[in-house]
Formats: sequence, C-alpha cells, structure tokens
Amino acid sequence: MRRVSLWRSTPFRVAVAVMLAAILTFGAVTMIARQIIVARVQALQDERVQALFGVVESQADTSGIFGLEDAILALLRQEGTERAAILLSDQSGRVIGGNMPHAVLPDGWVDLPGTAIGSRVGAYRFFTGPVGPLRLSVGLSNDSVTAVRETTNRALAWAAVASALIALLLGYVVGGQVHARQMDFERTIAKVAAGDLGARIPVSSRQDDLDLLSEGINATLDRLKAMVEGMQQVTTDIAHDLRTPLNRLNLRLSAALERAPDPELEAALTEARALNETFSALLRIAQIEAGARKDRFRDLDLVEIAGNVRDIYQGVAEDAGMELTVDLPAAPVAVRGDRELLTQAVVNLVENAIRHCPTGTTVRIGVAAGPRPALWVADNGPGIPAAERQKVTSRFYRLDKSRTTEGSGLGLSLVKAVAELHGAKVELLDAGPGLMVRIRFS
Amino acid sequence: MRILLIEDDRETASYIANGLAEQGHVVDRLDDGRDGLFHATREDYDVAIVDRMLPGLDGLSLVKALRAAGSKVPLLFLTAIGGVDDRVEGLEAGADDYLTKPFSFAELSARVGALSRRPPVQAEKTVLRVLDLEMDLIRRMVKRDGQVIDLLPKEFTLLEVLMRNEGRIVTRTMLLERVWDLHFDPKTSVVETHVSRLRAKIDRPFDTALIHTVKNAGYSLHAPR
Repeated sequence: MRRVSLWRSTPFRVAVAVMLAAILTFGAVTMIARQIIVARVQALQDERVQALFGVVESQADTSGIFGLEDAILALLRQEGTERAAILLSDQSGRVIGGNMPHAVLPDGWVDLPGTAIGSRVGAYRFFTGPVGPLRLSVGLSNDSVTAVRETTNRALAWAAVASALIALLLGYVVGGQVHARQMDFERTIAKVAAGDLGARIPVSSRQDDLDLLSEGINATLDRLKAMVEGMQQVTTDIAHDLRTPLNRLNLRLSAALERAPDPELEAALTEARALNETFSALLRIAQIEAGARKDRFRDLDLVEIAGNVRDIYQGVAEDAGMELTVDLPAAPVAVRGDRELLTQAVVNLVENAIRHCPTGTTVRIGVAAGPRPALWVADNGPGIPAAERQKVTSRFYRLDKSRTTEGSGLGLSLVKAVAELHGAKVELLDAGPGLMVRIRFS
Repeated sequence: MRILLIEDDRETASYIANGLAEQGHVVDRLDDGRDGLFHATREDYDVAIVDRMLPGLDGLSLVKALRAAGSKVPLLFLTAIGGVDDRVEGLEAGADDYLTKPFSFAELSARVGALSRRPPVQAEKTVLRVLDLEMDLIRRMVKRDGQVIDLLPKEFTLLEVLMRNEGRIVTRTMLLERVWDLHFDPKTSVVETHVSRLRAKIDRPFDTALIHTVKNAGYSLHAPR
C-alpha cells in the first residue's frame, strides 16, 4: 500500500490551513488596530500642534504683533527647542521670530525632515497659517508617532513569525496524532488484504469519531472473517463428505477389477477417477480464490519456472507432433509468489495448447521482464475467436469445437485464480495467428 | 512389516488393512487418535498410516506429539481435505509422505513400500547397482554393461528414484512429486513420455529390460524375476 508522509497527510494540512487562516485573521485585525493606533497618536500630536498654533494666534489678538515674540519664546521654553520648531515670517518670507532658519512652508499640514529646517534629527510635522499679516508655522517632532509606528510594526512582525512557527508545530503535533491513528487504519487494512483476517484496528477509550469508525470497520472485518471461515468450513465439510464415498467407490471398483477384469468396471473406474479429478480441481480453485496460500509466498524467478515446464513438456509436445520452445530474457525475472501454483498455471496453459492445436504447431513459453513482468504461453494454432475470449476463463466453459476433447474445462479458470492470487491479470491475445495467454504481474 | 493404521472410517480401514495383510504385512488397526498415539509410542512399527481427521486427537496433533516424543517411525498421512496448505502442514508437523483420498490401493501400497526402511539403518550409498546398471551419485554418471549412458538432469533423477526403490512400485504421482516437484495430476502423459525416453536410453540397446510397467499402478525397476 502506498504510504503518505505526515507532511502530505490531511490532518496536518488541515491543521496548518486552520492555523494559517487564524494567523491571517490575526494579522489583518492587528494591522487595522495598528492603523487606528497610529492614526490616533498622530491625531493627538496634530491636536497639540494645532493647540500651540492657537495659543500664539490668540496672543496676537490680545497683545499685538510684538507680543508674539514673547509668546513664541514662552512656547519654546515650554516645549523645548528641540521638540518644537516655530517660524514666524512676514509675507515676503523674511524670518521675524521662532527657532528655525529661513524656510518657506505651504499652508496647512506638512511633514518635513529635520535636515530641511536646520540640522535636526527625525521628522517634524508643521501647521502653517496666517496670523494677522504674518505667517506662522508651528511644528513638533513627530518622533513619538514614528516610534509608535515602528514599534507596532516590529511587534506585528515578531507575532507573525511566532504564530507561523507555532502553527507549524501545532500542525505537526496535532496532525501527527491524527496521522498516527490513520496509520493504525492503514496497517490493519493492509494486514487484512494480505490475508490476516484476524487483524483489527485498535480502539482507544476516548470513544471519539475515529473510534466509532474503527469499531464499524472492525465489526465489518469480524463479519468478513466469519464468512470466509464459514466458507472454508463448508469447503472442508464438502471435501470430507464427498471424498470419503468417492474414495470408497474407487477402492471397491479397484478391488472388483483385481478379482475379475471387466471392461464395464474399468470404464466405471475411469469415470470415478475423472469425477475425483474434477472435484479436486474445483476445490483447488476455490481454495486459491480464498487466498489460501498468500502467506507462503517466496521470491521466485519466472525464467526458471518457464524453463522447468519446458524441460518437463518438451518430450510430450514432440510425441504429439509439436514443437515446444522458450523465449526467455538472459537475466532472472523476480516476482513474489507460489512456485507450485505458478508452475501449475503454466502447465495448464501448455497442456491446453498441446491438446487443442493440430500437429505441426509451435508452442512457445515466454517471460517478459520490466516493471510489469509477464509469463506467457503462445501457439500458432487456430486461436480463439475474439468474441469467446472473455468467456473462456469462466468455469467449465468449452469452445464448441473442443467439447469432445479430454479435460474438464477448468484449466483456464485455475490459471485465472492463480493470477488473481498473485495480483496479476490474465490476458488473452491474438498471436496472429494463434492464441497467446499472458499472465501480467503488477 | 508391522504397520500401524489409525483410521476412523471403518470401510476404508478394512480395505487398507485387508489389502496390506494380503501382501504379507501385519496390521494393527485403531480408530481413535489418543489410542493411536498411545500405541505408536509403546510399540515398534515399520510404518504408521494416520488419517488426518480422527476422534479423540486429530491427526496433525498426533503426528506432532509423536515426533515430540522422539518417535522416528516413517509416517504416511491420509486426508480427505487435500487442501493446498494441508500437505505442507502435514509434512511440517513431521509426516514423511501424504496421500489424498480418494486413492488407489496401489498408490498406498507403493508409498508404504517406499517409506519402509529395510535394513533399518542404511549408510548413504554413493553407487546404486541393479544387475549391470550402475549409477554413480557423486559423479552423476550412469553406466550399463560398462558403457556410459548420457542422461539429461531430469532423466537422471527419474532413474535415481526408480533405482532407490528397486523392486518396489513407484506410482506416477510419486514420480511427478519427486522428479519434477509437481503436486497435481497433469492431464497429459508427462510421466509416460519421460519413462519411454529413459527406456530408449537404458533398456532398448541392451538385452534385458529393467524398467517394468505395473498395470494401473506405476513403474518398477528390477532385474527380471
């Protein structure tokens, strides 16, 4: 089964997605808050500038132009000459008062760097307006606002980084826990698929939704196990109930024949044996389909199996007037499986070919290497019509023309059962001319 | 030979016991697993035939217990189940051979014969000899009447099985299992084909035939009687 790493698993991604959404929301909200804070602080600062302007302006009303200088000086003393920058100029721009060098400022609000108004640091925010015939610019250092802005920016940045890290960490932890439980599911199901019907998903005492799901799956597996064991028991019972009388029949016929040879009895014994063979083959197919041998799988070489069958059947083919050859790659082709079953499958295919093809046919056993290795048997005989190829693998199916030949028709269905047990597919192809039956492993 | 038969189906047991008795063996019959185990450990038998499904103690457990008790008696397992797993289970439990019901008496007799070890302790032979046929197991060489005969590997194994069971009947099924490791019955005449080819090499060029066909049973290699 494919394994998905923690980083790509759903619980981790969901956890991280939720965390990121939370961070983004937090980020957006905090940025809005920051905007509000900074705007408010700025507004407060501006109110202050405006208030100072108002003080000087009202002084002009009460004590006239000459009182302005005193007012400005008083203000500067109050605020500090570093913090405050005041400029009183006449219409032509000539400096009359204040602590700033000559500068021309537009009316209203304006931000200026300290360097533009004499060697100062930081930034200043000015309000400029007319006072009588003169122009007054009042400015305060905006450093505090700048400081607030920078501090909140920095705080936000740190918060974002920290949240991201916490999100990943929590995602990892939470995701990991859920992932671990998912792995329990995967492991158990893999075991069952491999044949261990007793495997169950562990259930915690929490009784949460995953536990409920586990219990549901476990109950299903219980039913599956009961069904399979029931089937196996039925097969065993049938085997015993049918085989014992069959055995006695064989023994009695053999005994009778030994006492007095009789062609009728001989024919009867032949039929009894055929009955037994058919029964055995059916039983075998049923057992293979139930996955009986999966835990006995070993590493095998398909080339060796093909060669072995060829050695066994070469003589038989020659006696039947046919040729049996092999088409094998130079290097071993490894699969995991049951040697006996695969050998039997190839033997069935070769026997089918020998039985159904006329003399002079060439039968080939082959192995194809690659990511999907294959084991095939091909002949250049009459082949099977395309329409019948699908039906041929069902039990007891015989092509019309081969109804009179020997065999019970179970050969191909056994091949199919063996292939399925190995996770392989049986393909019937036109060998142009002739038939190729291919077992393709995945 | 002294044979212990543990089989609960009366008809089958009678048939087997009578057949073996006719061949000159002494057969002790039991129909319960526990009794069978008791007898097997108390007495000395040349071969034991045990059915898998028994009352009292099932065949598989019986075999395991017998082996655990140190008994080395050659043991043939009989079963009606004939499952793909059962043979391996039986052999792993300690049985020496395995036969699925239904079987012909000839098959049973041949296997019992093959299982018996006479003389009791046989030193590992390196050369097998029947009449003028000689097989060197170390050098993997076969000679008859002094002439070297060229055999393919499987032909060699086939001849070896026949020679090791000199005088006894070896059935088709036994040959399929021991020479080609095939545990099912092929439809075509695999064994016949290979035996006839072997005959062509080691019998036909010479005066006396050593490989004999036993009707409805199998083959036997021996000097003419």
